[in-house]
Amino acid sequence: MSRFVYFLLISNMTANLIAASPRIFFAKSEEGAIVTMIIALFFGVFMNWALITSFKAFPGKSLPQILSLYLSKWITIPALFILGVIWYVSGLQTLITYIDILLRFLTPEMSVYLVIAMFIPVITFGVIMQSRNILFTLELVFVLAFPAAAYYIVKLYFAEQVSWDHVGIAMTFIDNPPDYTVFTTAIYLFAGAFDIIIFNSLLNKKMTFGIKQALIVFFLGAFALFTTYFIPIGVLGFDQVENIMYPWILTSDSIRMKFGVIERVIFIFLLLFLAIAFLNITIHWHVACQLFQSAFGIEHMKMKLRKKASLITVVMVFWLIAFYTTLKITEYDLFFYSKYYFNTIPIIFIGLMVLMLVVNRRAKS
Amino acid sequence: MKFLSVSKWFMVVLCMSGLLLQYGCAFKDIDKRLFVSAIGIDPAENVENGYKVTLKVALPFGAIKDSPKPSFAYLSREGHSIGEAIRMLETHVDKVLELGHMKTIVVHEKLLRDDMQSFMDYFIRRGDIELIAYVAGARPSAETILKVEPDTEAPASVSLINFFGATANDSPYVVTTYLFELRRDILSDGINAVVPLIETNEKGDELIVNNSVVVDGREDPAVLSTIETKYFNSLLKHSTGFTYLVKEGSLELLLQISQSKMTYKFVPNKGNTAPHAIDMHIWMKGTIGEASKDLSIARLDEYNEVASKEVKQKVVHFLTKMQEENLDPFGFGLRYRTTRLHTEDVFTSWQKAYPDIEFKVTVDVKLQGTGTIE
Repeated sequence: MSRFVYFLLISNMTANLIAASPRIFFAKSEEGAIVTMIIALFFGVFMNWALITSFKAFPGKSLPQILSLYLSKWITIPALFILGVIWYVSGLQTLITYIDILLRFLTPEMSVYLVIAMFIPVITFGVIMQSRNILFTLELVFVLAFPAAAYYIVKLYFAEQVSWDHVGIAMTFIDNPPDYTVFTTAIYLFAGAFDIIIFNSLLNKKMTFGIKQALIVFFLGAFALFTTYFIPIGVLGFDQVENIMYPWILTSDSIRMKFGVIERVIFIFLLLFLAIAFLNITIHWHVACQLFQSAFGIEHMKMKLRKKASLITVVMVFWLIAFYTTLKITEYDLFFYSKYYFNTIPIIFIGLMVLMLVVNRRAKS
Repeated sequence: MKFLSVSKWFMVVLCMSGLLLQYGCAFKDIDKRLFVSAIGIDPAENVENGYKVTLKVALPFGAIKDSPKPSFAYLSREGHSIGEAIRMLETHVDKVLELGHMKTIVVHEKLLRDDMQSFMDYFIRRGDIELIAYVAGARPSAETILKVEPDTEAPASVSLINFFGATANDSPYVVTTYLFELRRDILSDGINAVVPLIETNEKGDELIVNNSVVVDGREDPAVLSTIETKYFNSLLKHSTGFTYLVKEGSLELLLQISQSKMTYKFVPNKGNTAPHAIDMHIWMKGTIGEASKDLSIARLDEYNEVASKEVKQKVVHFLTKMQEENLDPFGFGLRYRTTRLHTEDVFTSWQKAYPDIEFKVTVDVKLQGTGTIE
């Protein structure tokens, strides 16, 4: 596996730490969250294996290219369109969550329009960038922000504010039957690598997914799930954790570094994770944009100006929808719709894998 | 030569057009804000079931040289809820009240009950109040405590902050309770929250923190004495640097403990799920700080034994006292809940078992020396 695939995977795991997934876990904390997460862990590794293996035969080709080579237009266009919507919503969900968090914790006096307006240029620029540059940005942010983010997360494990008794109580619920929503939310953490349906066109080396890669994904996932679920419980207590809107924000606000540069860890934490979230939105929307462009056949357009114009149209539509939903949606709606969104993930995954199976067969014959 | 492509020009214009919407800096300057350094909450005198909120506001001054004493303003207001009172207080000053730097919440002793979560709610719900703010009880009232300006208070600082969090004062008699910790402990079954109690002397120029209060549902919250507070801190919070006075016959020893560790486990009852005893083991390491007689290094083992016996007696006394009051500041119930798979009656069976539980304490004091003299 190329190192960029790991980067994509980790960035998705990290961005989800403060988005909607912890809340969904905690809502089901007495109804089988733990056992589901263990199942999801194995399924997540399987997902990544299936993805990498199915793309193995097509190094240097993105999904739209592969599909247009082997399948008819009648299947390709709807498939790409649906995938585009899924990727767009994934970015949108992160965007709404982060705008909400920014307004609540960092800049409570700012107008919501201004906050969205600040996101627009940066993300738009990212979306229309070349795919190659996106990957380099990803690597850069990783080098700059990720060590610090990892430092803070590891620090949490040794903080005296974490009460391991509460973690122990959470673990006593291990015998409950699994829950579908928790399952889909947990496997979404592993969905980062699926961005290669576009970025595969840049990964020219043949990728393999053996025991080593499986173990890396397994341990990354186990660490991400454990941290996402248990650390907030240790800090905020098990009994009422499901009532908290943003468990991870409150958790980072409860951590104190006595002689750190800033005593309140939350500010550093928010900024770091904001950088990673920005990146995550950019990547997802870039993928969505590319998928839509292929679905509408923009790449085959003759005139350069026309191509640009349609690109701008796509971005405009992205932002119009984003503006509308961000202003309209309440926190409860977000939680509610996120659940529906996560619940569709396995179906999309199966659909994509069936397509890839067909394509692989046709490529062989 | 084409300088920039169309889409890039478009982007530049888009970014620049954002500037047209601005008409200057949108943020309020620092001189337009008042920084609240502490909040005091008392029961209201005139409003039924209401609260009296007192704010300690730090006043700005030009340079530290100009101001020998820190200067504060105090604002008070009664209201049905904390939020309402603070909203009304905003109309009493010409500037914005900034709560983001508020570090201490002082609550009247009588309000330290379980229903305090109803007003703590306001502090948690607001995003700008830090969850690592300290919470403390106050005697005789929060307002009096806030208005104390100790002689040792330096300009541009607040004494109330320095007491807690082990940044300045590191005494084992001072319990530190953070806001998030208080919320967690109040809302959890099987543990009682403990908050420090701030008192003042008769002249009103000193703050004294060496007792603590166990928060429970009762009207009159149980106050831990100075000694009990010290044991609580040393056994549970691993605070260092405390001393124990041990007496045996004519020998008086002052132990200086540098490390202490406590572990415990439940001794299960035969045939019954609930435990009948708690097996507690305490290790302590330290030196002798003061003695009434000449000491000999060779007899350290003997002193160890004397000390162990004394510490054990005090710990058992403290534990049984808490048990008699049906309080659980150590969180035994919480730990018990982790020891078996969850069923409905784990906690109820613990509640039934706790009043009759037996404490088997073993103490290992290991003295490493007699100080600088024998």
